[in-house]
Formats: sequence, structure tokens, C-alpha cells
Amino acid sequence: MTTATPWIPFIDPLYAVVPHLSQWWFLGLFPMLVAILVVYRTVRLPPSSSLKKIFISSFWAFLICVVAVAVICLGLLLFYHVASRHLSLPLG
Amino acid sequence: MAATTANSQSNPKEYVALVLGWLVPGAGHIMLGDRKRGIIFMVFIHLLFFAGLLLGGIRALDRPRQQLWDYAQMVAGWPSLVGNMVRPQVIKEDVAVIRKPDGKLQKLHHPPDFAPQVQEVATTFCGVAGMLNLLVLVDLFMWIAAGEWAPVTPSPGDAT
Repeated sequence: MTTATPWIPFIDPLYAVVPHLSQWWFLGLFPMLVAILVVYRTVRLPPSSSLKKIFISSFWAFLICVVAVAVICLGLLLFYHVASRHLSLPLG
Repeated sequence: MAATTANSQSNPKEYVALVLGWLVPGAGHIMLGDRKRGIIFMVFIHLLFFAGLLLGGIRALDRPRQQLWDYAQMVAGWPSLVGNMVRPQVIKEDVAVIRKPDGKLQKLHHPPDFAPQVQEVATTFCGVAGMLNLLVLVDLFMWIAAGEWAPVTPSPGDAT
């Protein structure tokens, strides 16, 4: 028996509509990264900078972050693979 | 940043802009004439905050359980203030009762459909929106304190 609360958009807006969202929670990090980088680059660049310059600068910063994360993740995956398969380290 | 400290006289309007910048992210810059950057701050900080609310609902603002995140979210201004006022009206008692396999009833402090990862991302969205507004406020304060508030006047070196 479960006293489940009825779906109210204000309480369970997206998760109730897309229940498997919890498996893709990390995709939410991308819009957050975009917002952080745009605000950060806008603060760093001089006030007279053009919109185009701000967004191009943010885009490059975003690409650098994504590539850096991909390289780190691939490196870690490779490390775990080698350590667990070939070196028999107990890494789970 | 080519301007010098020519205008070191403090203007009350600038400090009103700081308070307004806290209440409505980006509004401080707009009030002082830096409309372009103010609109960027306003749009992105509000989008981030409301994306958090869209993901996790009103529970993304969870003052009783996540006090530290609440402090960060409060810096985002009116969305957090209004959300914290609305939350107790929407969620009267945030608990659920389930029957365990042995037949006993158990009181949960989260609803049965609670998704921890999504809730955490949602809370983080709103908290980061607050922290970004803090960055924007620091930017505003630095300009005001340096007496360099002439953001609409481009200098030749900044054009490239």
C-alpha cells in the first residue's frame, strides 16, 4: 500500500511526465555548463563587447570543457580497464 | 576597462542598482545602462533557475533539508523568495506512508516517486543560478567601487 501523491505540475513537472529521466540526469549538466560559461564570459569580457563575441567565446569555452571531460573520462575508463583486467587490481 | 577613476563620487542610484540586481538578476546592469549584458544575465540566470524548478518541481527549493543550498539559492533573488513562500502552501506535509513486506507501516520523508539524482540536479541548478547572480553582483560592485561606471562607452581597444 502506498499513499502516492497525485501528479501536480508544480510539484512533479518533468519527472512525472518522463519517468526515466533519472537515468539521464547527467544531460542536465550541459545546459548548466552553458549558462555558467555564458555568464562567466560576459562578466570577463569588456562591457563594449559584441553579443557575437560573447557567444563565440562561450562556445569555445564550452567545447574545451566538453573535450576535457571526454578525455578525462576516456582516460579513467582505460585506467580502470587496464587495472582491473590486466593488473588484477580490486577496483570493482 | 580603459576608463579611469574619474567618477569616484558615489551615487545612491548605483547602490539601489546593487539591491535591484540581487532581487532581479541582471536588472542592476540594465538600470545603470549596460542593457546588453544585463539582458544576458537576466535571461540565463532565470533560465537556469526555472530549469531547476522544471526538473525537480518546488522541492528543488528544500530549505528544511538542504540549508546550504538554500543560502546559495537565495542569492538568485525573487524566484527563490517567491518559491520559498509558495512551497509550504503547495506541500503541506512532505511525507508518504508505505507498507513494508513484513506488514508494518513506514513513514518516508520523501514521496515514493522521489528521484534523488533528478532532485539533486534540480537543486544544483537553482543553487548555481544564485552563485552566478553573486558573480554578476560582484561585477556590478567592482564597476561601481572603481568609479568606472561608463559601460556604454566603447573604448577603441575593446572593439576587436
